[in-house]
Amino acid sequence: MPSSHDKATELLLAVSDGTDGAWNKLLAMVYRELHTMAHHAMRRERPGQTLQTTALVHEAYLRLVPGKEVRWQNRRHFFGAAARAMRQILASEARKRKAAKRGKGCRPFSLFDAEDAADTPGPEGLPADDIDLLDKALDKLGKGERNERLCTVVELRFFVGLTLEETAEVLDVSVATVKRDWDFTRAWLHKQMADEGNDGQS
Amino acid sequence: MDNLDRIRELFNAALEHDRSQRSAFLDEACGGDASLRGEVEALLETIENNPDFLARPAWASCLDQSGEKGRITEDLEPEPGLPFERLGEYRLIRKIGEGGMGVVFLAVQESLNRLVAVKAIRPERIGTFEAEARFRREVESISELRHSNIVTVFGSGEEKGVLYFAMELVPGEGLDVLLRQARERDEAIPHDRILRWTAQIADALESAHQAGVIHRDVKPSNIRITPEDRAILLDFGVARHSDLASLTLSGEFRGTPHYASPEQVTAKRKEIDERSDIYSLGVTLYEAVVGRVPFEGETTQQVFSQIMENEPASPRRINTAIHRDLETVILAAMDKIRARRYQTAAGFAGDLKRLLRSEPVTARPAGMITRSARWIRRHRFASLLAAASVLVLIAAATIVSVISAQQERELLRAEAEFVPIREALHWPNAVIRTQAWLWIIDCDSDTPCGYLLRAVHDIAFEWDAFEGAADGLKICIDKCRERGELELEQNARYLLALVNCCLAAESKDRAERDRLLERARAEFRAAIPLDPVSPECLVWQDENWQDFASGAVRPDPEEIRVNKQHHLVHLYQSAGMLSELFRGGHKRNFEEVIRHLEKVIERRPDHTAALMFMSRTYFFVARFFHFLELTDDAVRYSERAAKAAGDQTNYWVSINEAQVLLLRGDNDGALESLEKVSRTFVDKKMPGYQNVLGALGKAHARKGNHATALEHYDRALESASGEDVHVLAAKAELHLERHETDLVMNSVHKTIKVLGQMPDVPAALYAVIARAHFQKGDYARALDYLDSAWKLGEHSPRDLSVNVMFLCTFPEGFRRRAAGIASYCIRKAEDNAVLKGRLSPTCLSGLGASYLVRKSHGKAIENLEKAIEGRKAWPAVSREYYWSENARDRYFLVLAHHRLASESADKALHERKARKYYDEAEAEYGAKTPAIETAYLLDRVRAMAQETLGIGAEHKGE
Repeated sequence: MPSSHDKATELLLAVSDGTDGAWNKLLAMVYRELHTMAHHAMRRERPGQTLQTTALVHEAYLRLVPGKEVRWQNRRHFFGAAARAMRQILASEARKRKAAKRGKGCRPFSLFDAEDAADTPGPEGLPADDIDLLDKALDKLGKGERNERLCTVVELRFFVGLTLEETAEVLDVSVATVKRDWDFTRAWLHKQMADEGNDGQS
Repeated sequence: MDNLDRIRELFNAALEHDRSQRSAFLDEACGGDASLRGEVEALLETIENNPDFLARPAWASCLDQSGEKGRITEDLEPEPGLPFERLGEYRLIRKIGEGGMGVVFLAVQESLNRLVAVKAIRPERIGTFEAEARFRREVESISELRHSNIVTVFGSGEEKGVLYFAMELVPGEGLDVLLRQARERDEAIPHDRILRWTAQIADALESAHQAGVIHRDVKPSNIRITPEDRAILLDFGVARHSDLASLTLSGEFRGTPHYASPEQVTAKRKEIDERSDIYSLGVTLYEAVVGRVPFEGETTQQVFSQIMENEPASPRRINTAIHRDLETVILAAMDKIRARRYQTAAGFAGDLKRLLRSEPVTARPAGMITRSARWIRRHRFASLLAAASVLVLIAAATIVSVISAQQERELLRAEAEFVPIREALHWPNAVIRTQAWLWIIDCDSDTPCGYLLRAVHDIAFEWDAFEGAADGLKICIDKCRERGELELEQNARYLLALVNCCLAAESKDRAERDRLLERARAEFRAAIPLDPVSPECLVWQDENWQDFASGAVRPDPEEIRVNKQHHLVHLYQSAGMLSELFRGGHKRNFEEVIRHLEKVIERRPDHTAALMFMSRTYFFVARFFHFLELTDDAVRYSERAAKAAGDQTNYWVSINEAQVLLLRGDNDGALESLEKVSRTFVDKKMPGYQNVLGALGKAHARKGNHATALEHYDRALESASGEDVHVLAAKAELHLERHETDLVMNSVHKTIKVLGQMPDVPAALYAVIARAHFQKGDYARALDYLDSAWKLGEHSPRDLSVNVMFLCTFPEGFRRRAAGIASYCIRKAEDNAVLKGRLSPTCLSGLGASYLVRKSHGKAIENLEKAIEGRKAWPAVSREYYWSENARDRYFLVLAHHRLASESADKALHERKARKYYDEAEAEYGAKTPAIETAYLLDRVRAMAQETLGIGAEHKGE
């Protein structure tokens, strides 16, 4: 069957060749796939099932890009796209939830590690589960070309859930570099969000 | 932002330093740039204070409640002797299952460090083209499916020529194992559990079918039940894409013999579709519930021949604990004919869920449709207007409701199959819609022509496009002919006649007009024999219609166009709606029909057919709901119709009049009007004269002339070649009244013999049989029959209410079951018993009686009093004849007040009231003879009241 598999592989090759628009197409495809998968994952009632975003992205990768001969490059692009897609999914989900009613039912995000901080303001007076603010802060950060990688690190680490090592592997950089990027970006985002949040409240 | 790189550099460098040295480092690095230094310090402070910011991945808390459970911590040692050590990134641990095509291993997916199931093609099959093609097919089919009741595929690949795929490891046991264990331990799995599993699998199948995948091997061993009691569908090894028929390489049977559908047995590849899966799931449900598969045999061939030839043994015959509805659902799913099964897995799932909620199911007992359809065709002519025509109405209602549900399913299926024209079916333009239907009907022999006819009708009357309609109708008539759809053909011919009349009215050329009118007459003549007593036919048989046809030739075509055409259309439309009213008792049509007819009568005050129609409409509604005050209108219009018919004695007018009078209890009037026609009709044995005899019998029976009544009944039967079921039923009722139980049974058995098999017996006859058993003291069987009666289809609220009252008089010990059936009946009755915001007195009595059983005495009293009040609106003659209805309700009130007396504070008041009602009822009881239809109930309830009050039973006439 002519399937999405061939198309994904093709797109990956196009992305690494730098073809115009290929990345956006790949992103759209991965987004669709992940969105469906996440949707199903959310609705699954079977406990004990691995339902992490990490697993979702891995599964999407296996589903869309079968075979072993796919080049390493492709894996990198794929995960980049998947991380971005995951961020879009989660951010839009967050906005939807926020619009519906914040803090009701299942608490979807544990952005801050503070215990049960769903609706109680954090130390900086931020609504704890505001992934929307994070998304906007990332947008702001990503505006500079050179900061693209910083965003990707956060996307891979936070939105996909990769470890430092896995992130380094995907980005083809050293673990130390990832660690440095990660710390800085987190600090910057936190500060940015705190400022935004205060503005919004005043 | 420009200095972000610089800030980052400084931030990272500062982190390299010990906290104590950071300040010194920043002093040096920032020089005098205080703002730069401030920014870096703020960031450092942020990360110091919030070391865990973003540390837990998003969604982790919601998506994965189990945390790290999916990951494996301990090392799993591979079992020795595995054919492969690893396949791709999967490290095999041990074999956990095998099938015809593949072997399943427990494995570790190393990238995610989790346990999965890996299915690999069997080593000996490697390299065989067909096996590999099938294996690939399974991967493709299944990896497109995402459903919580279908196993999830994680990935697939090929390693050294070995095809494999990894899927989630579903914990739990196979359903086959659970069923075997239950059998061995002689335990039964609760039906609720089985139903939930089956509903989940049906949902899974629906999702697969939506994706175009047919499983083709649904059976217990392919269903796994997890420890959380969820059913998961596995093994799509023989699944097939519905749009990839060519991939099936041979017609050879694939699957397991016991669960194969007839179409799989005969290897009719084209016929294997979603409904084959529904069949197999039906067999699975059968096995789970009954404890064995429906068709057993020593060889595959034996099993196959049984699947093809035998009906499965009734589940209830094997295990009486199985609910009747559950049996119906199982047998509906397993019907040998695909078109009679559930048409979609969603439909099947829906009924399973209804069973779980104890709601009525949509499926009807097997075989009902075809058998009653045959029956109705045979009996319709002789009996539609017969005195006891309620039997036919009920049977007709059954068919209509079943067929319309089936048509609905067919429609859905047709839509699914012809996606490109699906849009066209809903197009506002009737011409396009017609084309679409025409196309579908051409392609699919299962789609009824009714849709086409409806579309053509719209062309003619919504669009005034008579020429196009005429063409469409001709095609429609041909199609109906081909398929033997007589009623539709008749409708189409009437419509064509009407369209020709309309064309004639518009035509300016005289010769053309004559030609069109002649054609209209020809269509009309051809239509009559197809169904001589349909309501439409009544309109067209009317002399006035012929007048109208000639009227079109009169010189003022414009007047004709504006007035006559519309009046004819109104008449036609009311005929169509009235026939629906006949069949289904759709009260919403009632007012519509009246409105249409009023328009016709306004223009033509002497239109016999319209007047007759109006009378019949009121008659049907009065009888259906038992609002006897409406018979006043029925009588009024009937008289006008008789006057309009003039000297000519019109059979239809007279028989209608007699029926109306019988309904309202005016037995003398009925006799008089029957005697007017009996000489002409009975002596000359004109068609339908048996109806006159039947009605005469009924009138005499009511007047207490039992011998004369029996004589009439017998004459009707002898001449009607013993086939008229209504006369038989009326005769049985008379015997019942005379306590000649054996003769009743004789009569009933004759009826049953006439009708062929039991399932054909119409509902009201079941009630008669129930009463016979009741009279014999066989209460359990009486209940069985009543239980069957209400299941047979739409009943009039009045019939249901009468049945409820009867049920309420069952002796202690049977009362619980009776109350169960009663409360179902009353709910059903309440649903459609309200006309213009009111319940009829009979329904109120039924409600009251059922509240009595449910021990809501206050509500019982309220309803019973309202019933007595409501009868004040009845015509005097009805109040006179049906006096016993009030008496019966008073006896019910005695029961209610007496029971209240024991639990209420105001004991004396209730005792006084009980006594008062009793005395009132007794006063009448002593003075009058009860109506034959209600006598049995009256006596029962009276006896109960006397027992309650401690009064010795005194029988009338003793």
